[in-house]
Amino acid sequence: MKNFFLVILIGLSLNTINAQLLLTCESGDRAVEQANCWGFGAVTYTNSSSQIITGKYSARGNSLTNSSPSACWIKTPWLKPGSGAITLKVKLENTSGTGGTIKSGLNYKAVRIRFISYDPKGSYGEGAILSDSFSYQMVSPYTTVQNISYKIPASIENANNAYKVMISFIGNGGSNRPNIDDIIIPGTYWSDPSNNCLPQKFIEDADGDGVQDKDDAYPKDPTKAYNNYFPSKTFGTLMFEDLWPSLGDYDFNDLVLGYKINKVTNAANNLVEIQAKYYIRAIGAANINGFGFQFDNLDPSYITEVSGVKTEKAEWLNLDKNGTELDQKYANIIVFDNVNRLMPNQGGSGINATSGTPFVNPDTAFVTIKFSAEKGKEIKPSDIVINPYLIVNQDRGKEIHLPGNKPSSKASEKFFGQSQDNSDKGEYYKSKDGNLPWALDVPDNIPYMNEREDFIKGYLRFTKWAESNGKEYTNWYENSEGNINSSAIYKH
Amino acid sequence: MSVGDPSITPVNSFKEIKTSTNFDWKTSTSVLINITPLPTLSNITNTLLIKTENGDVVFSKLQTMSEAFSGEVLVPTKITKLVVSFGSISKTLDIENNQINFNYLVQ
Repeated sequence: MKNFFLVILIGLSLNTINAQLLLTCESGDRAVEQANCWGFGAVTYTNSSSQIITGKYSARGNSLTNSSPSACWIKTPWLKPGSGAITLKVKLENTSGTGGTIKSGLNYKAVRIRFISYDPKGSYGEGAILSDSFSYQMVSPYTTVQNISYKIPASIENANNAYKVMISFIGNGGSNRPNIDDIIIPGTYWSDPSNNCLPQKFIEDADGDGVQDKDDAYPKDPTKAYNNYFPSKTFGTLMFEDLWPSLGDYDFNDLVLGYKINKVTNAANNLVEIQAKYYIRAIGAANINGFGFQFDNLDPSYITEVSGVKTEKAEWLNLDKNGTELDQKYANIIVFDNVNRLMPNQGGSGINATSGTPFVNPDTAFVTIKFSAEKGKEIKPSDIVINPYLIVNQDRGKEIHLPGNKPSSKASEKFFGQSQDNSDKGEYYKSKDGNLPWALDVPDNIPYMNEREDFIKGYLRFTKWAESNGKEYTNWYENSEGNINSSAIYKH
Repeated sequence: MSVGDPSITPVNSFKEIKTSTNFDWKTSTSVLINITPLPTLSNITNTLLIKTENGDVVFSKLQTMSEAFSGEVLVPTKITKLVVSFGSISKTLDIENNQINFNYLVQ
């Protein structure tokens, strides 16, 4: 069953308490009113002391030498008219072009007030102009403020339809500008600035969470509203060298994973769950490795449930009842305890690592992590930092992270500073010589190296990117001309 | 690829790459999104979308026009612009110093 909610709830309540639209110009910036769907034709704001009527700002029209109401005007947003009088304050800047009458059409200055009906087929939704209108001719003394008042016609008083009020400034002769201020229109604001300033409309929101169904990824579930994917369209690629703390052959195919992370949020932009998809693309290693990730700085108690991991009784793996790893300061999720068990070798060196050897279909883990909805434990999607790592050869203390990322509580510090590792200096998972990494993360589904092919032989602009501190060739991994040497890439 | 192409550094192996110690090897970066509120005459809510110029949505949330928002999104470092849309309002903004600033004012 569908529920219907009005986008603008305050608008409804205002209608019952003599709501009104007010234009005082005190924002000092006409763009603020335009963003709220007011319209201005040859009318600007002024803070010149001789032109101000009240406050610090007033409106100022062009010289009134045109009898057309389309030459100089102010239009309200769409509104539902109330009852009572439209009022405004107007003065002229001098006496030029005055003394005549509207009837004569010579040397006069006047204000016209008209109503525009809504027509969905019209430009900006504007339809016919009502025959009920009002004209006021400015009288002497012209440079003194004149209070203009026009009672809303009975034909549209308290109407349930949307109208705009168009206030035009017309005249003939001379060079004389109007100053305008304090426009008050009895009625209820009924424009939607986020929908081309058309009249507000009822929206469909089946679960009542405030997110209209057309935008809601979970239109029948009030606890969820949006999917936020990273990478947004494709899969990302994680690549590891597993001989840390020694340098390896830098083919970066000891473990190659594809991944996609979806942060599911509710209407309050709180994180409800993470749907993480990891698939094993290649295992170019002799070691029996595992893979997991840490949510940096997130206490494990913020997680209520983990499902979908592909682990099977590794001796080193102990899980808490919420599915996170026990005895960790921050929440850690072990996705694969043994990637080789999931993708057994079918012959050749490695698995999907050497071109021409039997291909093994990638194995995929669909991991769902649910977060606490407990008051006080709400977290935002940007609070989550995912820190992935490889677990080397079933040694739980031997983790390999992306360069600069901190280890989990389970990592053994005995490896830090050994061989080429520089972690003991605070440069986590970077080499002593050259600041080199043991893992790379790319937000795209990229080809990986054939066994023992050096990474820079395949990605020709990678070195320039790295040696420029990441400033140049930021698209080094894209399959565009000159980036990739396909002869070094794994093919099956 | 021609010999002597200046886009290719003449090193023979990954181990020969020399980078500065502050290089982080990251291909993605956090961008701070700042939304300046607009005083409105009623409570206008809609979906705020942050997209790449290709139209790929990187973040979405329910937003009220009269409320400020500030939050980080992760985007590839190769991205230099982001598109912010709120219903019919849409602006393409340059990423400067890892942030973008959006307001609802008519351009």
